[in-house]
Amino acid sequence: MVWQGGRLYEQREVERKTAVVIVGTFIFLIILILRLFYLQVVQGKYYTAISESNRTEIFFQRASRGVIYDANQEVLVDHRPTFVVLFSPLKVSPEVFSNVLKTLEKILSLPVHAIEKMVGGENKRSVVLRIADEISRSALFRILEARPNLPGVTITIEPTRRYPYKDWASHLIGYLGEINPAELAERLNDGYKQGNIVGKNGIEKVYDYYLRGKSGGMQLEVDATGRSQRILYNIPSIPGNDLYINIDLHVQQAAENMFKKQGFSGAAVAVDPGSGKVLALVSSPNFDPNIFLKPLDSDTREYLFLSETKPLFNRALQGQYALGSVFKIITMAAALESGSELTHQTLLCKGMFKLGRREFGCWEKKGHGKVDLLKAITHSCDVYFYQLGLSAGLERIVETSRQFGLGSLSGIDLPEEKQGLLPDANWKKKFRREIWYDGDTVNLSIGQGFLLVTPLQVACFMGAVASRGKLFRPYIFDRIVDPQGSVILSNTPHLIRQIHLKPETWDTLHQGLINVIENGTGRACRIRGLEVAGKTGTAENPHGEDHAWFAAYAALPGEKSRIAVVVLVEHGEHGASAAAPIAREMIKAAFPELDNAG
Amino acid sequence: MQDEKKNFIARALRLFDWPLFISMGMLIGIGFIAVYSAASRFGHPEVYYARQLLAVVIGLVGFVILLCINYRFFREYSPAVYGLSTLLLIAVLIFGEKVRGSRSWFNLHIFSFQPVEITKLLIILVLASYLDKFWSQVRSFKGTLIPIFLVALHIGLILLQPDFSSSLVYFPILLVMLYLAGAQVTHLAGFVIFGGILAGIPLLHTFLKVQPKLLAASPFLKFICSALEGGLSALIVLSSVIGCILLCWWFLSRLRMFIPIGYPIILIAIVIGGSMGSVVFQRGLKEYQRKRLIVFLNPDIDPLGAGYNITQSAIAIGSGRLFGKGFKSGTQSHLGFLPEQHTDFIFSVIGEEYGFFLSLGVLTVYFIFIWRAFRIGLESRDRYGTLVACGIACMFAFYGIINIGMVMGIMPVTGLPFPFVSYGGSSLVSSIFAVGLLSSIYIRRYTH
Repeated sequence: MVWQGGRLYEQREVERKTAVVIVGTFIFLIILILRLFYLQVVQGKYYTAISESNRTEIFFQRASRGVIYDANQEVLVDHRPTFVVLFSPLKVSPEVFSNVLKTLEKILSLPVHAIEKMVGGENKRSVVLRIADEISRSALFRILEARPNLPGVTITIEPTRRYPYKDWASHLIGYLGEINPAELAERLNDGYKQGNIVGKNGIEKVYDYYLRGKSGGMQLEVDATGRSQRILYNIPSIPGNDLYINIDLHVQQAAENMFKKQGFSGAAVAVDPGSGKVLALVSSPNFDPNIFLKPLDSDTREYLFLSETKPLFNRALQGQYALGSVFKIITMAAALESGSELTHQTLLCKGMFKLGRREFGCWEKKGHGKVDLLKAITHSCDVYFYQLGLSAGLERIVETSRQFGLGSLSGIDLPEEKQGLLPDANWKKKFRREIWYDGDTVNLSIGQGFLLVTPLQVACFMGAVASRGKLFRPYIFDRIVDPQGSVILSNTPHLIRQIHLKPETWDTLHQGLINVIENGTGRACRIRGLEVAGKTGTAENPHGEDHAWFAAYAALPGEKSRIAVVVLVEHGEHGASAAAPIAREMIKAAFPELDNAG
Repeated sequence: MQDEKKNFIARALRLFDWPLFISMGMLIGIGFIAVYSAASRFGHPEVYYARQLLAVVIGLVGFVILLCINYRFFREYSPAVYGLSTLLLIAVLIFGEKVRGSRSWFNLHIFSFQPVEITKLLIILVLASYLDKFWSQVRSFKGTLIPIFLVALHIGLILLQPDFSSSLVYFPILLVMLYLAGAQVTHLAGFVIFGGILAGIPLLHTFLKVQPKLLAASPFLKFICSALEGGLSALIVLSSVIGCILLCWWFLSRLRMFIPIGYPIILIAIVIGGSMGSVVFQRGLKEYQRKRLIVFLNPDIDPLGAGYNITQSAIAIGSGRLFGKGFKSGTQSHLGFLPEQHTDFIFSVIGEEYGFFLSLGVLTVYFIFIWRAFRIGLESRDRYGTLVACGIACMFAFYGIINIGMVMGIMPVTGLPFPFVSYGGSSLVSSIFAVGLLSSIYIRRYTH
């Protein structure tokens, strides 16, 4: 077709030039198509991942840990809702960002640079930052009010562990902390992850697997301003199982209060002689497990980890002490079983016993005068027991001790128990490179010398005396109940051994220990309406004042013993004055029907 | 009379460019779907739908009118056309409504319209008319100046609104139409170099200025950056560039390649003029606008502004992959990550929701449309029709390349729409009008 009124060559020129323009346009088209191909096909996977992370945010929902109940179904440990401020800074423009920080500073009194530090650096890539834990109610309302001006800020509710009785039973309960690499390696198969909060001690640690529950998660779809649009999926968190323990809060509380009032350090343990249930387990000084829920300040850290008093040290099962006169019960049992003539004889105590060239004093310097077996135990005559021990012989004493569980782990369901030390001739030869002298037997018969025991071992041994030879494994945990209320694990008494002594031996032991309370060294623990049997003790302490012991068991008249207690007061000097009153309060608490008049 | 009318309709239908019309219809249809999806985020997508529909109706009415009018009518009355379009641009400066800082809209209460959308078509008609009438003069440098002046006046008026992005389309139209009409390539190259220097200096300066790390690392770039700001170092650079030009000329003459001394002198004049003119450009554009023009080179220079937009747009398109996320299922668009998703960034919605194959289809349809427009230029019965059709084709090509390049992160962020597909009444109406003009030329290709 030729232009109207134009010339052909002109038209050809225009056609040629148009072709150039068309080719140019199509070159651009090719570039656009290549770019489209690159974006959607070559890089499609990459951009899909970005768009997914653009639109989704994941919130982890901490599961609430199980509640711990005492024997009377009272709540010992629970949790409470706390408000946590979360901030996702990625989708906030710089001006808005600085305004948000300023507002947060005003409300939370958290300096801007601190938040900036949190936001900057490594955290910059994370979707959600925890700005503040456990904000106050007023701060919560102020944030909710200011919310339109706080893009990217969210508030969630998280259950936080609460120890309502603060430092009571702290050693027994333990505390929480972030999992450390060693614990993680050990528990990896149980589904533990980095950053998990786990029990660090006590039953929180031992039963952590049951208590922890299962964290849930929520994936939210968010828009460009960070507002959530809908929940993509939600795995609800599963609360932990509840734990019922055998501790009787009243007994525990009685001991805690006494220790606190007197300012003593030491330990007290109460068990049920008929089952081994641990009714109370006290170690003083103690600590408040609540403080571990937040970062520790330096003063607290120093108190907990560096101070001489060692508040984290569980004296009830880790403290190893000489037993003192409480050991006379075993000496007496050994002698009675051996059929020693001495048990029927009367000796004269002049306050001193000579063995070869060595002299062994009685605690009563002026002597007890004429003493028979029952008088000797009642007044804790050392001179009598030196000779009783010698007559029973080392082997029988050691064997009887072993029967009563001394020198071995009690097997309680708490971590890091110590086993004490039950010395014999072999031990001395091996570790002291010396032969066993009769003088060592003399020392041992009143619980001095090399012997070391933990308060828990003594409690078990006392329980066995009370139950006429039934040595139970002590246990804290009774049953685990899942959130639906069904029992998933329960504990039963475990008899370690039946100690076979002659019935007369048990009778004599019992009578002797009753006498101690009625008119002997343990009168401070007399309780009207109860049949209390016990023994005081004073353990020589090379490092300072003597430690005071008191061990006892109690029953309503005509009934089986309900409780065996042992109290150790460090540097308490005399069991009668320092330890017995504590035991008395604990026993009284175990018999609520007595109305505790006196 | 009755017979003649019937005759016209029959001929119009017989000679009608159906591929052009159908590809336009497809693009409008895709636009409807994409805008509906994109606008559903704002609630009441029907409103957008209805406005879009109204624009199509108005556009088609105009289309029919333009089809019936012989396009040569505009050639006869080109001074009037130019006068009218200039008046429109002046009127909008006086009576226009200020929206987001620029006075570029007439608010007619029932609807608003942007006169520049009409005047860009009118200027094509005027330019074609001038170049057709005085085509023999265009070969000389002087001959090119008058059409340039005609266009420059309009660009000036548009920049007064100010509406930088709308003025951009005038440059390729002017350039291509001058080229087709026979202007010397060297003349055009001169203008391009002039414009390049004029815009390049401030843009390069902005580009360097926003990357302080780069400057700190390289003393050379630091020197360049300070030279771009003017002052003594600018003089040093400018004089060394002039020296280089002269040296090249001398060197070439030693190689017995004689170039008239006029060329290097004009080149030097262009360099100096461009450098001086760049001050105007620097003042005329705000910092953020300059950033938007260069951000595609490195989205990191403005990560929270235009860089954010093109990054998110690339994510949207890329995440569509082969088959897309499905209608109304684009997360980038529906969750507000995409900027201006129903207007300038509509193609990223298409990319995200419909995937590679359909996006490629859209691109293909668009380029079939452009190709048809150029074909109409080639088949026109006269030079005027050829110039008008090629001008219009060039306009659509420019819009398409710039817009789609922008959403894919390889072109400056200019805020130009994707014709037929982007939401926006004025643009849609004017685009359909343009197709009316093309059809008017096409159905008369055999008329003598």
